[in-house]
Amino acid sequence: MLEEVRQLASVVVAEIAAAQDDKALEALRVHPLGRKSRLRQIARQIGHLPAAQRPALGEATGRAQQAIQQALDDKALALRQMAESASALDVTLPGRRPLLGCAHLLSQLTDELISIFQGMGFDVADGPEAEDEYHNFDALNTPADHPARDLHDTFYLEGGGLMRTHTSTVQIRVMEQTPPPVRIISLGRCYRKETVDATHHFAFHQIEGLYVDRGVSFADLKGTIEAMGRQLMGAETLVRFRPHFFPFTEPSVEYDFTCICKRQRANCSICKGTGWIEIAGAGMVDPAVFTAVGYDPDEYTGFAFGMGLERIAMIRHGIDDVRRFLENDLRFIRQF
Amino acid sequence: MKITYNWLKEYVDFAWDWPELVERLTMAGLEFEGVEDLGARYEGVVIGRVDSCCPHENADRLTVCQVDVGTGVNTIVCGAPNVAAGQTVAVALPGTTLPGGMQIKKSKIRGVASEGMLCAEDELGLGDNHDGIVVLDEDFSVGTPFAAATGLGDVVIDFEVTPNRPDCLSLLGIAREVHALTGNPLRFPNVQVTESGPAIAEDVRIDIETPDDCPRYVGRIVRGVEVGPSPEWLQRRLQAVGQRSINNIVDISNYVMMELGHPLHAFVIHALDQRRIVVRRARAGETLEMLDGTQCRLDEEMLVIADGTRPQALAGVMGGAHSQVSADTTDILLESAYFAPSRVRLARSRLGIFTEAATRFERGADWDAPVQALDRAALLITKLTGGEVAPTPLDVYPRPGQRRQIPLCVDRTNQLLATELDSAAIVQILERLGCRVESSRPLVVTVPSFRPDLTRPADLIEEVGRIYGFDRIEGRQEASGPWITQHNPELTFRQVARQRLLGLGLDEVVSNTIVESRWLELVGTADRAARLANPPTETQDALRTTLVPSLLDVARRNFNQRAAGVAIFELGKCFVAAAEKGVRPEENWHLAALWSGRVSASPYQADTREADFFDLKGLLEALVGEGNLRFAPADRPECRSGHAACISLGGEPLGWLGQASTDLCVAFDLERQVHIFEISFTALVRHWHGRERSFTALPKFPPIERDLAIVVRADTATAELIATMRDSAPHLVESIEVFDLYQGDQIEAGHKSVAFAIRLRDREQTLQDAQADAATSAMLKSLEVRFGARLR
Ligand SMILES: [Zn+2]
Repeated sequence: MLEEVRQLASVVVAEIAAAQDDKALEALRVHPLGRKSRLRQIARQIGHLPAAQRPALGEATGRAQQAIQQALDDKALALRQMAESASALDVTLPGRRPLLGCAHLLSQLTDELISIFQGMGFDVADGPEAEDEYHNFDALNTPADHPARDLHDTFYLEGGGLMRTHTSTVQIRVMEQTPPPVRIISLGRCYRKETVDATHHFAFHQIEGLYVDRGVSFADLKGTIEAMGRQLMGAETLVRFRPHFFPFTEPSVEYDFTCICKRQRANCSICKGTGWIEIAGAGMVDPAVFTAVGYDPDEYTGFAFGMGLERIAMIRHGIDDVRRFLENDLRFIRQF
Repeated sequence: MKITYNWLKEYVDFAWDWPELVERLTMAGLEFEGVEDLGARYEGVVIGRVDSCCPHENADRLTVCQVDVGTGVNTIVCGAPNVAAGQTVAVALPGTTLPGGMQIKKSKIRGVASEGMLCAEDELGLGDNHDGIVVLDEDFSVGTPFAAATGLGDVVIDFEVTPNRPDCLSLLGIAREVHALTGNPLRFPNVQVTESGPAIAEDVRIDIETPDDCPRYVGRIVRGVEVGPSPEWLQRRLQAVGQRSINNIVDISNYVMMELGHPLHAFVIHALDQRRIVVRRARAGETLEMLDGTQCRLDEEMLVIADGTRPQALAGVMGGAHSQVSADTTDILLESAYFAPSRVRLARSRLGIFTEAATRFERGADWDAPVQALDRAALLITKLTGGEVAPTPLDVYPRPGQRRQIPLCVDRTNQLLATELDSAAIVQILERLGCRVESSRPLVVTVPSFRPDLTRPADLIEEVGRIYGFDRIEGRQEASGPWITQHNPELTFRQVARQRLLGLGLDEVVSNTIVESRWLELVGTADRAARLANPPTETQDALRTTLVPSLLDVARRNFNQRAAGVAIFELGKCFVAAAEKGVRPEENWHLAALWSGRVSASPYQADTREADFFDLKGLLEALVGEGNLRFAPADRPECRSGHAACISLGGEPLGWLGQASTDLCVAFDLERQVHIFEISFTALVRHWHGRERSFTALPKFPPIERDLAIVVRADTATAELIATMRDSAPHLVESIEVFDLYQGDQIEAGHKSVAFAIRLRDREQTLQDAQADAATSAMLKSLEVRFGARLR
C-alpha cells in the first residue's frame, strides 16, 4: 500500500502538469473516481491498519497530498498567467491625450516676475496704456523741449493723448494716489514708433519697479536688481551698473547681467565676447519727480527700474526675432 | 562721439591700453559703440635701416640694399631713385598685403633674391607720391611695427554720449573724464595768438537784437588766409573721427570743434553787407540757401546771423552758401558764440537739419569757451594757411554767464549712495570734475561752465557716485520699508482664470492692440475706436475695441500652418474712444476664446468631432461655474444668425458666445466653423467669489433619482423647462440634467423630446418614494400647463 501511495502521487502530479485548462484541472481536483479520491480512501483506512504500519503510511499519504496540492496551485497560477498574457496591452500605443493649453511666454515671464517681486514685498500696480503727456513726460521731468524726448518716438492719439512709451507712467499714477512708503511693480505694454524688424517692434512689454521710503539708497537698488538677476537668469548671475542718463532718475544707471555664455566664447552672439549683456535702466528717483507728485524730496528717497520682457525672454531662450511674440504661431507658443 | 587713442593722449596721460580705456570710460558713463584699429592695415610693415646700397648688376635703375629689419638683415631690391645707406625706411616683409592691395612675396628680381620691399607713400596709402621711398625719422627703432612707431597705428573708439553730457562731445571733454578718474593733469592746447594789422572794430560791427537767444557772440578776423587743402595729418584726424575734409579753414573750425567741443563758423567778410553781423530772429518770408545747397524757409521763431540786410546763417545750425569760404577767400570773420539751446533745437527740428554744431548747442555749449575756441582756431589758421589775426576778439556779451553754486550735504550724499566718504574725498572728486568747492557745511560747489547738466544737489551726488564707482557700492538685501503686500483680487483672478483655461486645453495668445480699422468695421465697432494720429502703418491705425478679429487672425495664421485645430484665448486690454476730446480712451480687460477644428489632441481612438457651440459653452461654464450664468438667444453682427447667445452673470451682462458669421470667416480666410466667446473680464471679476465662499453642510440623507422624458414644441428653451421644474419642487430639487434630446420620426413634427435626470433630496429627513413621485408629477403638471408638454 505504501508503494501504491508513492506511485499514485507521482501519476497525479504528472496529470496535473498535463492539464490544458482550468476545466481539466478542476476535474482532476474533484473527480470521485480519480486517483486523488483513491488517495483519500487510503488515508481513511490508515486507522484500521496495524499500529506498526501506521506512521510510515501516514507520512507517505501526507506528503503525497501536499505534493498534489502544490502541483494544483502551481498549475492554476500558470494557467492564469497564460490566459492574461494572451490579452496583454501594447503599452507603447499612444495615450489618449486631453488638450492642455500652453501659456504665452510673455505671460509666463510676467507671472514669474510677479512672483519674484511679491517675494520681495512689492505690490503689483496697473496703469493705462493710453496716456497723457503729463504722466508720460512732464511729471517724469521730461518737459516739452527736453532733448530726452528725442529718445522716444511716440504714437499720438487723434483728439489728444498718446500711447505710453514706458511703464514709468505708473510710478506717477501710484505716487499721486498713495502717500509714501510705496513699493510696487507694474507690468504691461508700451509703444514706440519704431520700424518693425527682428530686434524692434512698435509694441513691447516692460516691468517697472519703484520703492520710495525714508533712507532708501543706491545699495537697495543694487540689492534688488541683483536678486532679480539671480532668480531670472541663474544663481551665478552678476550685475554691473554703468552710469547713464534718464530724466526721471538721478543718479541714473544702465545695468548689465553676466552673459549666459560665461565669457567662454569670444564670438558669443549675445554679448559679443564682452561677457555682459545690457539689460535695462534704473536709478534713484529724481527729486523733480517727487515734487511733481507732492512727495517731499528732502524727506524721501527711492529707486526705480525698468526692464523689457521681450529682451529677457530672447536672451534666456535664444529667440532670434522679436516679432515672434505677437504673431502667435502656436508652434512658437507651445515650445515654452 | 569718435575719438582716437593717440589724439586723446595729447590732453591727458593715462597708463591704459585701449580696451582698458574703454572699460574705464564705460564704467564712468560713456557707452562703448565700437572700435576701429587703423594700424591693422600696416600689419607686416616694420621700421628698417638701410645698411648699404649697391647698384644691381643686371639693371641700371635698381639698387640692391642690405636692410636691417630687427630680426635680421634682408637683401631687398629697390627701384627708388632716392634710396641711400643710413636711411630709416618702411619695409614691407614678405607675406604682407599693403593698404593699396599690393602683395609682397619673396622673389628674384633680375637674378637677385629680394626679401621684401621699401615702401613709397602711395603704397602705404598715405598719399599719391610715388617718386621715391618714404624716409622716416632716424629716431624710430629698427624692427618696431611701422604703425606703432609712426602713430598711424591709432585706434578709433566710438562712444555714445547721453544727451545730458554735451561736454563729452569733444576730445578735451573725454580727457577731462580721464583726468577725473586718474587725477593726471590736463593739458589744454595752445591758444596764444599773435595779433597784427588793423583792429577788428575798424572792420566789422556785431549787434545782438535778442540777447536771450544769444547771450554771447564773439568774432575774430583773420586776414590774408590762403584757402586750400588741409595737411595730411589734419585730414587723417578728421577722417578718423568721421568728419569730411573740405578745405583748410572749414577743417580747422571742425577740428577745433572736435578738440574743444565748441562749434565755430567762418564767414567771408566781403560777403557781409555793410560789414555787419546782426544776431536776430528771422523775418516772415525770409529764406536762406544753406551750405549744402538746400533752400530753407525761415520763420520768426528762428534765430539767424544776418548781415546788414539778410540772413547769412541759421544760428548754431548751419552756415549759408552766400558767405561760405571758397578758394579765393582771403579775409574771414570767425564766429564763436553761445546760443540758447531751445532756440537751436526749435530751428533744427522744424527744418529737420542735423549738424554736429546743432547737437552741441541744443544740448548746451560752454558759455565760457568761445574766446579760447576762437583763438585756438585763429592760431591753427595762421600756422597752416598764413594770414594774420587782427587785434583782439570782438566779444559782445550782453548776458554774462554765471557759474552755478550748489550746496551739497555730505551726509545726504553718503545716505543716498550708501557710501562712507568723508568730506575730503567728495571734494577731491568734484574738484577733478572742474568744480570749485568751499569746504563748509554744507559744501558749496561752484560748477564749471561746461557742465549745464549740474544744477541741483542730486546732480552732484550722481557725479560723486559715478567717479567713485557704482561697482564699489555693495548691494543690500536686508528687509526695510513696507513688506506687506496687498491682496489684489483682480490680479489673482487673472492668474486663476488663465490657469483654468490652459487646463481646459486652450493655448494663450498675446496679440497686437494696434489693429487695422477694417477689422473693427467687420465687427461693427469701428465708430467707437480710438485712433492713432501717426499710426505705424496706414491701415493699422486703431486701438482694438474687441479681441475677436485678433483671434480670427491668429486662427488664420495657424490654419495656414496646417494646424488640425485652433483652441485659443486672450486676456487683454481693449479700448473705447472717449466722447469728449482730450479724455483718455476707456480701457477694459476682455477675455475671449476661439475654438475651431478638431476637439481632440490625438487622433488615436479619439473624438474626431469638430468643435461646436456647446464645446465652447461648456468650457465657459467650466471656467465660470454654471450657477449664475444665463444664456439667451441673440442677434450679433459677428455671428451666424440663430447661433449666438448673449451671456449674463448674476443679472449683469457679461458678453456673448456664438459661431462666427460667414462674412467674418471669409474675411479671415477661415474655411471651418469657428466659435467664439468674448466677455468683460472686469464684470466677471465682480462676480468672482474667490475667498468669500462659505461652507454648506454636506447632506446627511440619501437622494432619490427620477428620469422624466417629455415632448414639447421644438422651439422651447430647455433652460425654461428646467427652471419650471425647479420651481415646482424648489426645496427638493438638487439637480436636473438633460441626458437625451430627440427630434425625428418617432414624435410629431415640430416637436422634440427631452429627457431629464432629476435628483431629489430632502435635507432634513429621508425622502420617501411617495414624496418623490409627487414632486415629479408636480413638475410634469407645470410643464403641461406652461409648455403643453406631455410625457413621452
Ligand atoms: Zn556671451
